[in-house]
Amino acid sequence: MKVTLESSDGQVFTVDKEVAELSVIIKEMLVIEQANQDHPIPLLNVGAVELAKVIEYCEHHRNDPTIDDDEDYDSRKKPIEMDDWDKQFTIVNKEMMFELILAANSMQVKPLLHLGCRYAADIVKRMSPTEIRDLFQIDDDFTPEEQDKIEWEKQWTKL
Amino acid sequence: MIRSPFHIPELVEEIGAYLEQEDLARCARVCKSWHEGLIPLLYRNVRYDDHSRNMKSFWNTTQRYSRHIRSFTVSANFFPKVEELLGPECRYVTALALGPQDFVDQPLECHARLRSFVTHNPSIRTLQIDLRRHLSSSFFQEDNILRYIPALTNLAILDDRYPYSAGPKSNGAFEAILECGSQLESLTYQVFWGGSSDSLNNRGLNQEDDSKTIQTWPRLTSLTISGYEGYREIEFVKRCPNLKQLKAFFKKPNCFKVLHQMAQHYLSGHPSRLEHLEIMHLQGQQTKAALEELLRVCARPHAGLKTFRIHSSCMYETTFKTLLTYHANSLETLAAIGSKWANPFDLCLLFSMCPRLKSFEGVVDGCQLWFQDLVHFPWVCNDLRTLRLTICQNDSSFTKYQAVSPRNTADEHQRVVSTQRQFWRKLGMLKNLELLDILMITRDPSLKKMLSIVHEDLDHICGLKRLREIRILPGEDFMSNDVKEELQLRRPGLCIHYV
Repeated sequence: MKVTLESSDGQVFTVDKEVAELSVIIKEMLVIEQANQDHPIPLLNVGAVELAKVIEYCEHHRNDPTIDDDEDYDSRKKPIEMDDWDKQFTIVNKEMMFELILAANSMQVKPLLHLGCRYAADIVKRMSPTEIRDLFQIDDDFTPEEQDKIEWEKQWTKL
Repeated sequence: MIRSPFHIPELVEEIGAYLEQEDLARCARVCKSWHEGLIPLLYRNVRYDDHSRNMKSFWNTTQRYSRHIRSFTVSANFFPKVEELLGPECRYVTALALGPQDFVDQPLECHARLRSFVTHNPSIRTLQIDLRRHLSSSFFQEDNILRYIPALTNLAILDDRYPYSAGPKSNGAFEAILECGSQLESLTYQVFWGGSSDSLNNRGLNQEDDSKTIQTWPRLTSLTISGYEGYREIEFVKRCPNLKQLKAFFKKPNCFKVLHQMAQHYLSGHPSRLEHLEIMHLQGQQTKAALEELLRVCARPHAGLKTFRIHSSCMYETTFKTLLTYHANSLETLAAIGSKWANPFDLCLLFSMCPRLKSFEGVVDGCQLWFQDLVHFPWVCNDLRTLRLTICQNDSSFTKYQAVSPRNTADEHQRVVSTQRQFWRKLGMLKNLELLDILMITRDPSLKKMLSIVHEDLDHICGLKRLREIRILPGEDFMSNDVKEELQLRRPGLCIHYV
C-alpha cells in the first residue's frame, strides 16, 4: 500500500506504507486517518530536500528490527560499527545533517535520529564551553552566582 | 542564527546520551538550558572508590543532584554512609555494583549501611558483587543482602580462590541465590581459579530428593556459571527450563552433568528456547556424549542455536556434524577457541550448510583450503563478516590427497598455483567479509605459498568492499612489495598485518 507525504514547500512524495511507518508520527496519523488516505500527509516542518533524504534512509532500513529506546540507553556511549550505507549517507555537510536531525526529530524516525545525534555528539567532543557557544551562537546566560556553582562541574574532568 | 539541533533542549539531551562524562561536564557549562538537560546524564553513573572518596567538593555537588543517580558503584574497603554523602534524594538507583574490595573497616557497620541503602532504593534491578579481593568469606554469611532487594532481576556474583587456603569467599551465596532465584532474569555465578568442591558446600544438597518437585525459575533466561566441578551449579540448571543463553565454564570433566541436566528439560517435553550455548574446559567422552545429546534435543523446527562457542579441544567431528545437522539454519556465530584441536573443521561443509553464519573462528585442515568439495556443494554462506582460521595440517588427509595427485614437481607447482587462485577466488565470494585472521601452525612451505597473494588475486580481494583487516601469521612470503603497493593503492583503508 502506498502513502503520500507532502513537504513544507508543497512537494509530494509517494512511498510504501511500511517505509513511511518508520516515522512514529506518520504511523500514528495513519491509524487515526485510516478512512481519509487520498490526501497527502502534510509535514509542516520538513522541507523537500530533507524529506527526500529521510525517505531514502527509511527505504534502506525498512526491514530493520525496531529498537527499544530506553533499554539500550547505557549502551549508546559505546562506539558502533556503522555499515557502509550509513557511512555514505552521513557524508553531507554539517548544515544538511542538522536539518536531517531536526526532520528526524519532528517525524520521529528513531534510528535516523540516533544516527544524527551520534554525529552531532562527535562535533562537540573535546570542545570547551566557550568554543561551543561561539560555534552555535549560544548566549552564556548564567548569572555570576550560578557561574560559581557550575564551576564544580569541572571536577568531572579530574575523575 | 544557525538552525541546529543544539538549540532544541530535547535534542541536546538526546545528543548527550552519546557523550562521555568529561564532555558532558564541559557541555553542561555552556548555558542554562544545556545545564538543565545534561545534568541528569552527568550524574547518572556515580562511582565511589579510593580515588573519588576524598574529593569532598565533588560529593557536595553530587549531593545536589543525587536524585539523578541510576547506577552506583562502591569499590572501596568500606561502604559509605550514603545518607550523609548523597543526602536523602538518592532513591532511584537501579544498578548497584560492589567490590572487589572487602569491607575490612567495621564490616558489621558496613553491612548495616548497605542494607539501609538498598531499602532506600527499591528500584534496584541489577546487582553485581565482586568478591575477588575479599579476604574473608563473611559477605553472605553475615546477612543475605539479596533479601532486601525486592526488584532484583539481574544478579552477578564473581569470586575466586585467593588466598588459596581460604577457598572461595561466596559461602552462603549459593543458598541466597536459591532463595531469590524465581525472580531473576539473568544470573552469573562465577568462581575463578577453580571453585570449591569441599563437603561444606555440598552439604544438604545430596539429601535432596529428586522426586520432590523443585520450584522452577521460569523468568531466568540467561545463566553463566563457572567453577571447578559444577556440583552445586547443577541446581541452577535444574530450575531453569527457559534458558536462552547458557554459558558454562568448568575445570573438571564430570560437569557434563550440567549439559545432561539441560537436555533433561527438553526430553521431558519442555520447549527449548536455547539460542546461545558456550562451553569451555569440558573434556572427555561423557561430555562429548552429553553435549551431542543436548544439541539434538534443543533443536526446534524453525529456530535453533544462533551462537555456539566451545573450547577447540572438545570440538570433535561428531559434535560438529551434530551441530550442523540440527542448527545449520540458525547458526550465526561459531567459535572454537584455542589452538589444541580435537578435530579440524570441515570448512566446505560449513560454508555449504550455514546460510546465516556471520562469524567463524576455528581450526581447519590445510587441505581444506583447496575447497575441492565446494565444486559439488552450493555455497550458501554469504553473510560471513569475521573469519578467523587456525590452519593445521592433518597428516592423514594430506597423504590421502597426495596419493591421488601426481607427484612430479611440475604438477606440484601447477597444483600450488591453481590452489592459490582457488583460495582467494573462493574467499572473494564472501562479499560481506570484514576481518580475515589466519594463523598457520604448519611447517609445510607449500601451504604458506598457497596463501600468498599474487597480482591475479588482487581483483578478488579488492572485490571485498567491506574488508577492513587481514592478519596472516606467520606470513613471510605473504606478498611481494609491488603487490602490496598495488593493494594499498587500490584499497587505501585496508589494514594488512603479516610478519
